Amino acid sequence: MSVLEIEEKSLEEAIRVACERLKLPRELLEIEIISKGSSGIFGIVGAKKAKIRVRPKVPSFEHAAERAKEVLSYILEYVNLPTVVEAEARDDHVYLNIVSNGSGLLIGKKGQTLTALQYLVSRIISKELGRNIPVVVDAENYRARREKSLQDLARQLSAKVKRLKKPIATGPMNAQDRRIIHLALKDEPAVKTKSKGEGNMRRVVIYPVRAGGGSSRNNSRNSNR
Amino acid sequence: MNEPLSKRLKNLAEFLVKALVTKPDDVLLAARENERTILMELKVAPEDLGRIIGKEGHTINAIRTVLQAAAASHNKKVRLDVLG
Repeated sequence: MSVLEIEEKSLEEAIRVACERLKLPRELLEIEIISKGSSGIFGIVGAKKAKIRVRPKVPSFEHAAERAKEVLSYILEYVNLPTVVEAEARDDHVYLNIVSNGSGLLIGKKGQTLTALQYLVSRIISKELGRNIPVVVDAENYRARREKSLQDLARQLSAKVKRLKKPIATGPMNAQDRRIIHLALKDEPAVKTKSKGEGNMRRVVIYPVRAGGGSSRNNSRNSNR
Repeated sequence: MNEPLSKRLKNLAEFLVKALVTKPDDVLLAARENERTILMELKVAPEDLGRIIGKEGHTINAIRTVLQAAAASHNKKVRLDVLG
């Protein structure tokens, strides 16, 4: 959907069609004029169609955040709960927070409803804006709480690994959760972490580092998320 | 807002699916409702099938999860099948 060529009677008409097809206002289109077109004599002889090439402008994160908020709010209209969505454009992603009545319905088991909402909103607006837009959907501060408990888990497991001098694996985790584990143990010299397994079964394995032997291997510790 | 729940959930499913496919006009959705469950069947253009199912069913499962949350808020269950 990134680039589109449109031929119409006039330039104005071509731009209007472009906006319609890409569902974007004119300000968000990068328009390249291939031929201006002319109506010719009496509108018949030598009439030339106007031709343009358009692509969506690299959208600002503010615009993406606004659209993401609209899409999520629309989805939530179907959920029988009072909800308000707050949107924030952060450096590398759009952050959406659902303010609701405190029920876990929108969070789901292990945050799976939030993850599903986040995945769909990201897919929908990325397609619309022609560029990959990472989205994080949160509710009731769940993401921060989850991060905290994963960090606690990482510390407990690493203590156990050091005590038993044997590698230990976490349960299956998604990429976001694995990243938190890797980061939590990044500055822990006595262990190293590595993601293992395929697809949904991917997990983090924490290995003990033998004293004195592990310094060179430590460098690649976080390369395999 | 007074539409039956099956109709409303169908609209939500339709919105999500149509936003993801390349041929929204080829999206067909049917919904039936009994006292506990809403049953939906989805058909899309063959070239959109992969797009709507996603890697390891990721996309279709995300759609199901969102529909289930919406249905649960009305104390109902929902099932979405994709017809190949």
